[in-house]
Amino acid sequence: MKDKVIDIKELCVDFHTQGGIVKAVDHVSFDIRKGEVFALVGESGCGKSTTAMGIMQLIRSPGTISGGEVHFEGRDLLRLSAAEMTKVRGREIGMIFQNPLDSLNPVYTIGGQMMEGLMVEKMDKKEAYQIAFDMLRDVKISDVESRMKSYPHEISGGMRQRVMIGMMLCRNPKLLIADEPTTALDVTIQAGIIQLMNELRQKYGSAVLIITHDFGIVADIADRVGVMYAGNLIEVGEVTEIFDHPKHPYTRLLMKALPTITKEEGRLETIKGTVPNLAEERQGCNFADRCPSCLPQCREKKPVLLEVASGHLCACHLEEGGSNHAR
Amino acid sequence: MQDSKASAALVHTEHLKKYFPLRRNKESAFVRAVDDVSLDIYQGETLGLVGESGSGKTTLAKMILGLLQPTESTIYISGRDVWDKRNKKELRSSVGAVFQDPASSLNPRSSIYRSLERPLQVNGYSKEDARRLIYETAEKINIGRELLTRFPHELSGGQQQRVSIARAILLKPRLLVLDEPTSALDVSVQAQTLNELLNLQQELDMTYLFITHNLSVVRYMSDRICVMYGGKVMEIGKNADIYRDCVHPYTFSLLSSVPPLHPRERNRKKHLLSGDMPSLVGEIQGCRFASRCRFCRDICSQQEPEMREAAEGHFAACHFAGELEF
Repeated sequence: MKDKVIDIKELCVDFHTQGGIVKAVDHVSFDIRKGEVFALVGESGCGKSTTAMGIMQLIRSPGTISGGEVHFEGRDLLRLSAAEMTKVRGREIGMIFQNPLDSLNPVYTIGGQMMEGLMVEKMDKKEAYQIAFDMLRDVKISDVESRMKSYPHEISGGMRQRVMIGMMLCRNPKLLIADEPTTALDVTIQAGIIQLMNELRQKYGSAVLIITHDFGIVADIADRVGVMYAGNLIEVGEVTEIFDHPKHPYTRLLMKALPTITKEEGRLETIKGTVPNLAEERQGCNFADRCPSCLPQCREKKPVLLEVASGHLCACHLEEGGSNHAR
Repeated sequence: MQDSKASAALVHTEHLKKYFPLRRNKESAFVRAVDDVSLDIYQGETLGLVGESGSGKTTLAKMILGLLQPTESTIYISGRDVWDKRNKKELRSSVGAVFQDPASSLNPRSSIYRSLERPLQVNGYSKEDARRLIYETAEKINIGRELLTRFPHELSGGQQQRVSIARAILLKPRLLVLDEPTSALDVSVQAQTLNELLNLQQELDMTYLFITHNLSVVRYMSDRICVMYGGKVMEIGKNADIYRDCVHPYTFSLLSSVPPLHPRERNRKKHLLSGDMPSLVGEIQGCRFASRCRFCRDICSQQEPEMREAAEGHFAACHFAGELEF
């Protein structure tokens, strides 16, 4: 077994709303290994971002982390005090978001912001400048000297995301969480960012948790994949295994809904119905109402993640062994 | 006259230009958002329009919709000038539009029914006729009657987009302009919406101008594809001409930046672009793609390339179209 950088066990995040308690993240468990890129995919509202926010303990009211453990570097992050957690964020776990403009301070220069993070650690200014300078070069920013003096609004969207990646890597985090890092960018820019992330993971060796709705990104960069649906992690496996042998009916349908054909070749698969209301207490599988191969027990008992092939986990009654099919 | 030439095409433009004035140090300057675009859209087809942000796709669409006045030249729909005031009313109802963000194109204070009724009222439908037509259209696109009394915020993104599509097709337009209609939707909802659009097109014999930056979606939907860059058409041709046999280096780069369909394809041959799109302010000499083109030669930065025919109905604006090995 390779070393785990982070081990998430039974993480639960609840939102207390007027309509009831919404289980946005419901007993989610997975781990990320050293130097690995783990992709969490799913559609809007499936809980993928909330899982990341839970790991970072950035859940705001009315949300609460109602259970679970997040083991990182020999401790449980959920038991740390607020002050201790602040030291983990940015230093040990870095995070980048979809819109870099929200994360960059508009009134400070790029260089100033990058150096600030380093100087918190009592690093002197000269050294911080050198590290920031080298890092910007590593993230392929041209004309670094003048870019250090630019403000965020003066550079393009793709460049801003490069700056964010650089800013996070400056402090050599063990884990980098990237929440939809390329969703706001053009495909041509996206391809460059993905290529950059692929190069940097080799150089810096940080493990990466990438959150995306785009299977193309998963195919391009991930080593392992976790698929989420309605707050549950329903399938986990190596990337080629997931693409070649998706087991969960939801994963299969989702892959067939991707436009990979022309209209002459056929029609895209659709998934009937909509995501269930997570505020309602329900028995059984969250996907049961939309599942084309729903069994009676799917409405009674919630399936758990079980290993269906080596390293491939799936939460579906259909996969729980042949005997169940007969019943 | 223009009319005879344009009759084969539903939409016809020649040397269409849109320059946005800029004030810079009291000198007049222009952003050449759409610069010299000649384009035909044939009856019943889907023309996909692709390109990066700022390539002029939406500006072109707005001119076709009659929402932006061209700086030079004009647009003919069924051979008639869109910008001739006499044709305005009739032509307006023969084009429909669906935009990216359905929430912002629906009035938050009107019920869905009101939003659908409004365009019919404006066009002189009686209350009863309007109701009949709304119910009929809602059924066609799977909007349950119970949704009609609701307000936009009570609908999911996919439902909102269906309402926008319903409203756009109420008046049975001949041309539907779809500007990033599924970019804000999830994959499963996107698949549903795209399939519905294909069915509607067959049923109502509509022509689509489908604008998107998602190259897989455009491949699924289009008969022909037009690639724009820096306000100009770089390459245009049948779906397979563009996806299998593209001859313009920009098209090749654009296609190679599409993420792979399978992890196995990670190491396929690709050529990514570096740098940014050139500024569209001021006079531009030569090919607009020259600054980022790896095949760029002297002539490229001096002389603007003409459209060259690479195969039947397949054109590219490149001095070396068909001669390059990608």
